[in-house]
Amino acid sequence: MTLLLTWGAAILHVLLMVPAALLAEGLAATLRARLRGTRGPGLLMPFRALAAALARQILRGPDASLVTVIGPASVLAATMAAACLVPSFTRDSALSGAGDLLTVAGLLTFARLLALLLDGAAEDGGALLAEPAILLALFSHALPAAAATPIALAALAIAGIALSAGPPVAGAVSGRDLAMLMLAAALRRLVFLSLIADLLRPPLPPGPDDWPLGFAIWLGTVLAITALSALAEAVLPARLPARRREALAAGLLLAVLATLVGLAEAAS
Amino acid sequence: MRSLLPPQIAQLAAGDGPRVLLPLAACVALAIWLLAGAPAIEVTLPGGGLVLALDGLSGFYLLLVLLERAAGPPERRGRLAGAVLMLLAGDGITLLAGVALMGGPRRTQALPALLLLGALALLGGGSFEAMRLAEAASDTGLMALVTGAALLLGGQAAPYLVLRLLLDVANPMPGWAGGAVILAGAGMALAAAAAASRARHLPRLLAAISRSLAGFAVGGAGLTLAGTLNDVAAPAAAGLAVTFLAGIMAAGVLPMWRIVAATSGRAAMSANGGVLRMLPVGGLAAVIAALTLALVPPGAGFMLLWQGFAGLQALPDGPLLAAIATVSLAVTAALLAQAALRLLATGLRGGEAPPVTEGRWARIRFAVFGLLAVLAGLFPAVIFALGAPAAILLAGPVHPAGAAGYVPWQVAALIALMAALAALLLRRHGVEGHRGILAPSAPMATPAAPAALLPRRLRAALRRIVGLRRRLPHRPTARPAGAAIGLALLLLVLGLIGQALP
Repeated sequence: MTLLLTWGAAILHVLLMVPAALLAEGLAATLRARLRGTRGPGLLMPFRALAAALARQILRGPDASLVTVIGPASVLAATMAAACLVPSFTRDSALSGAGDLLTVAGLLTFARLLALLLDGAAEDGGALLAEPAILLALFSHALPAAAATPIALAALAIAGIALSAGPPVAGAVSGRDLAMLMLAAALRRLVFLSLIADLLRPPLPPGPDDWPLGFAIWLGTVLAITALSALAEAVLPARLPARRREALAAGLLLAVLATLVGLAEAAS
Repeated sequence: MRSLLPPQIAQLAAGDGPRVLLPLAACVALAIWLLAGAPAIEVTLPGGGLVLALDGLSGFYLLLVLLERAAGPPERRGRLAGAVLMLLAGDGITLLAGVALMGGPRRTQALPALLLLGALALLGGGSFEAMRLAEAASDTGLMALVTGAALLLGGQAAPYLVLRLLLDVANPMPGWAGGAVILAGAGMALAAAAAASRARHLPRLLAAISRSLAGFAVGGAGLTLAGTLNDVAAPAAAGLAVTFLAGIMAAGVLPMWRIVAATSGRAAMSANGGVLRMLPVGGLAAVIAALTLALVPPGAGFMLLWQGFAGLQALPDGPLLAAIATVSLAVTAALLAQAALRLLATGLRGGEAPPVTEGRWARIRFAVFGLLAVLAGLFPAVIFALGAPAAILLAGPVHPAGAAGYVPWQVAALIALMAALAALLLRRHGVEGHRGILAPSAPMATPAAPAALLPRRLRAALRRIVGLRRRLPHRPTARPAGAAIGLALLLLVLGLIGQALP
């Protein structure tokens, strides 16, 4: 019975993550547009964009390598694996034992690495700074100190905004490959939001009776943070790649600060 | 383009049976001896009183040195002999002779041996047994000299010297010694990773990654030292895990890129564009190696990272030390990922690749070590079992164990499952129009011999049963989906077998 429940929770979690990611993407885009005074594309825009990309033909150049062929699917698979491990509405999921939050950060790095490889942006080192920021934010949160948490949250937020900014891949990717990368980008954003939500909210209640409550808490925190991040993105100036790297560096610095503050408090 | 490597290396890189098989056979023998509990062997040479000894610690590092020999292109003459002599040494003079032999002809390369001479003088000299009984003259001096020599030597010698001289042979060091060694190792790993992320030459990049791994190993040895000296089990076990994994990565994973570099013979990164596309088996093995070196799951590198974080969090003393080391570890990981990304981007890029072919032995070697890298990532318990005698020798009843919050084979199965799901759900959509390397090259209809028809019919029947029938004659995505499902199932079975075993 327990086995059935934990696997049921796992499957439900996986089934929820994909539409939730696309919805959060649509919500963020709509809120951003409203904050800037335009009507916006609507909540279902990411679904339509995905369907449109799926309907198109894949075009690959004559020098397409193995990475070009299996890269998009690998990016999506690694991001989905990370999304499976992130806590959503319950901690009972059968999958949550396979990896902790450090593993989630590692899987996001994996996906990021492959995406950068696809993008031909191997020299853009700043893009990989986001994961150490996550790691440090998580580490500082694990310390028994209250003051470190806000700084850790700020670091996570900056890293999240910087990572979710811009088109998923600028290179010549089309059709199903583009759809996979779009879905991966939306999922990565949701993973970030869920990580931040996990730091903010009280521990999730165990047991299937409390799944609706857990679901409500998860939905509420994710929606609230989506709204907040949309507000932050609307306030921030235009998102250029150079600025993205600055944001990541700032996130890393904040995470370092959070770790130091947390450790100093833990010591005293 | 000038080749940086002597001609005999480029020639051997193409492959040579005995040079691969002999060290590999020795590795297997050593592994069996280690798994049997590593009963100590000691020989006192007649006359000079020199002692040769083999115990769990030196046996594990001998295994790594031989593995590196089997995996990579040969090094400078004398280096292997020096390393073996250093590992087999049971007294100070033999150890010093081995280190001196490893150093080489240049003046700066004699410095580690000189530092070690001072350290051995502080320890009292003579056999290791005599040193264990004597009181070290100066703890601070000993720590500084041994750590300095280890960082200068790098490679497998660095963690071995720290573990042997500071933890095994020396009388109990003061509690802060572990922290100092952690900082030294972390600093070296960070500096080398920064160099690797910027290097413009392939051999230099690989040398920097090697130094970074040595820094990890020394830092892990420092964690073990800190845990053992303060009687805390968790950091000691995690430190040993970090040291062992860094050793395996330097010995079995990094050399694959050394072979690639030796085979291409071109130093500049820009001259190696697309080199992996010329090597069918080696390319795949090198991609696996680069992902392992990038410290991402489910490779062995991520287990190293995980254990490092866990060990630092459990460190009993000095929160400032833990903070500095943690920040350094996180940034080092990002820089190594950047270095691995550059390796991959260069190796897979289109354009004119170096004229490189893969010999039969090179192909076998790539296949063996690529498989080993995958298995080391999925089942690190095997590496920890090989290091168990060393752990008992150094830290008593403390064993490096798997990570509590990270099960590699489950994460790998999860990724494979997700890949299968994505491929299955999306395979109806999109029309293939690619002309890539996976483009169909077989003619449309080839009259097949009756014998060849049977497996095809069998396959068709299986496909009908499983329901993975192809709708159109050419559906390349159906194959990755099947492969990913198969991989996920295989991993599940392997993992369940691994869990069922004691």
